[in-house]
Amino acid sequence: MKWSLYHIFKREMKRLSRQKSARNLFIIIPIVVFLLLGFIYYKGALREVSIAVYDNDNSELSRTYIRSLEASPNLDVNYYMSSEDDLETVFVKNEVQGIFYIPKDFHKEVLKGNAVQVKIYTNSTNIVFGNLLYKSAAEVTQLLSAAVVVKNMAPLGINPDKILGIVMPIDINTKVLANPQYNYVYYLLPGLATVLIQMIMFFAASRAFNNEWKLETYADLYATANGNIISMILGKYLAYMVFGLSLCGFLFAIVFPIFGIPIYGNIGSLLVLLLFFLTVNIFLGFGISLLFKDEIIALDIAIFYNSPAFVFSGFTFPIWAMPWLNSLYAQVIPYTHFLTGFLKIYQLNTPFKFILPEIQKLFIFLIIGVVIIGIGLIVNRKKIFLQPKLSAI
Amino acid sequence: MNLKTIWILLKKEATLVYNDHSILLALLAAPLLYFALMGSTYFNKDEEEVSVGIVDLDNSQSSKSFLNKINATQKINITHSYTNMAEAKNGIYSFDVQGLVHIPKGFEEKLIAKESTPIGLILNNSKFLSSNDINKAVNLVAMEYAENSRQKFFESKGINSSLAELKSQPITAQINTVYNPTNNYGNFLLPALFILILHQTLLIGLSESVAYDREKKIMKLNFEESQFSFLNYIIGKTGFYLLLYFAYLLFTFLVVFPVFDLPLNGSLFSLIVVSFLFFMATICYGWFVSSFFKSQARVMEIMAFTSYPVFLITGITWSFKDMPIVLQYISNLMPLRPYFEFLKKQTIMGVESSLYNSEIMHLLVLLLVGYVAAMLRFYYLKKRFLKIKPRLI
Repeated sequence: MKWSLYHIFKREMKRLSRQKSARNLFIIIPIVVFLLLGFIYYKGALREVSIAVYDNDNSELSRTYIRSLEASPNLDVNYYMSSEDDLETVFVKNEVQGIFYIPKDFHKEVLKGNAVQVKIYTNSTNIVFGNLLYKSAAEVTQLLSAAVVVKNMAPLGINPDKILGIVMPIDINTKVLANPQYNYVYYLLPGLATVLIQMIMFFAASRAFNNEWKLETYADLYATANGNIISMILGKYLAYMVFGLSLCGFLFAIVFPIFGIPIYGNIGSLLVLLLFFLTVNIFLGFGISLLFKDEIIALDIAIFYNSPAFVFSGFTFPIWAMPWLNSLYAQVIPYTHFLTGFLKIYQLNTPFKFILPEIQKLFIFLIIGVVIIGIGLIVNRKKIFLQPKLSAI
Repeated sequence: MNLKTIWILLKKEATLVYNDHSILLALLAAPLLYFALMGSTYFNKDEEEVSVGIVDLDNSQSSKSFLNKINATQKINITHSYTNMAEAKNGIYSFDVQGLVHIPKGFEEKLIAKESTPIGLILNNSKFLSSNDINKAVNLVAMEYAENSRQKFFESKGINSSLAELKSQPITAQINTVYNPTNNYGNFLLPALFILILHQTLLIGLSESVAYDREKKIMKLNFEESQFSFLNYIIGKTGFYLLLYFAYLLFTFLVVFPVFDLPLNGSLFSLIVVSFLFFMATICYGWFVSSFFKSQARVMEIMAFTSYPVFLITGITWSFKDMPIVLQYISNLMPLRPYFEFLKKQTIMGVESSLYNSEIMHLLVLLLVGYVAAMLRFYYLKKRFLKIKPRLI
């Protein structure tokens, strides 16, 4: 078995190296797609969101307010509206994401001690901008408001030591773990790239055996393995693993540094998790490949099963907010569990024991993969065990 | 243009789709299944009850009241109470909680003494949506405390309650989220997601069919049947897809949108007409690209990986102007880019027609580009087919 395993491994490495399909999946797609996705978000964090201002007061205070908006790193005042401008037109024609409307007598009312409202309209067709504008608008307004409060308090007599305690009694010290820079490349690229690795491995593996039947090379495979099915599977598995690890190497050693994505966690833990992840996908793919003789059907199943993996992973929309059937479906995709473990290691730098639940879940998928392979061997036993023997004669 | 020829080719294509289970799956089963599966994921449109942990070292009436206020907000659910930070850290590491509120000892004492009271907020920012929601909710509750404290100060100086309330927050920001009033994830993403499902299934189905023609060497036959007229060929070959996806269009806007309670604020007529143009352009592009493939399996593999890049390069989830200029050019060459802009303006925004004319023009130009590219490719292939001499028997 030992040598047949090595021969199968060598044969599979050669086969994959020559296959156009493997070249597309393991070289062209990762290079093009990983880099493309990285460059889409290359700026990292959103800064200087375009906004318009309508200053209906034109006072010292309104100008101070506008200066505060201009000073905010998240905002870029690039249009000053006049009374003739229409809200909808400004949003669309001037391509602004928010409009700040400072009412008439803004300054006068504040001096009188009356509350005034700055009306802010955010274009929430894209919630990324909507959330950022909400945060920035609230920060700028609350800061100015607090300054006015302090000014109003001073003549009434206040102990200077108590000002902060009265104006802002609860001081929130926020510590942001895992991507404190709110960087979209750090956030999205690792998630998207790893889901693509799952797809690549699964797609490639789902054609590992049925493609041999199609090309009529199965007899050669069987002969190389000396009829030992375990050698056949493990030899192929090792070859796919080499390709899978190369893919991971490309991602973590080349793509991550290009975009400056840090890995906070332990590389050893990450490697263990990746080995499980790749193994699960290879075995599930092998199972499909042995079960379905027609490689197009196998590929259909692989595409259908894997395509929604990112949506269901809970990465951009949490699993707990999904209807129960969808959250159940999320659980039957290995990527969901890999992602949790991956985020724990790569972003939170958790000790290995915290990814054990995910490793256990991936292990269950591994067992499922082995079971599907077993079913495939039984269902197609004539094609797997008997035909090569006959052809050998 | 010969209607009889077109009809023959159209029937032939319908027969091919009917007999090829893979194309049938991509065109008939996949759109409906993905609509149900992926659409329903966002059925609740927004997340609620994000799990938050607490470490209340003060354990006072004030700290409990503060935490109760946080728990009462719609998006927060305090699920874990830890006795110390080490235990709480494990909660974050295990992903049991997405955020942590840490109240130090002396919280109540400082509040009563009107001293600034620091509290800790730890956010797991590996998923932006939950992290933002926790941050927002805790800050809002802290702001409520600030307003109460300021009001009490002014009241203590003899100012009546209602005036004190006004003075406590002299400038407020009234934030109106225009077009997507609840700033929810579903309204932001679902319309584009449904169109992406149609776009991708159409591309996969069509490219499988074209690659099949080349693989089985029946493209030449189809060219001959079209009397080597591009118009006859392209209408005959792709007419079936256009009709099918026109039906899907109607289904999407008339059934799926109402089921998912998605806004349709513009003119339904122009939406359908422009969507039809969009599918025509997609078909021209799809035929052109897939005519380079000679294997059905290979084209499936490649097309399956285009979903994320073509979706994200349109800038739907990011700031288009913040993408590299080269990617902006590439994006502008794809029909999805102007169509998504148009879709946003027609469905969620409902703007007047003059504000989306540029997108229609853009789409028409791309339709022309796609048509010319497909035509040139057709004539190139025709030349090659005519050069190949039929084999002598």
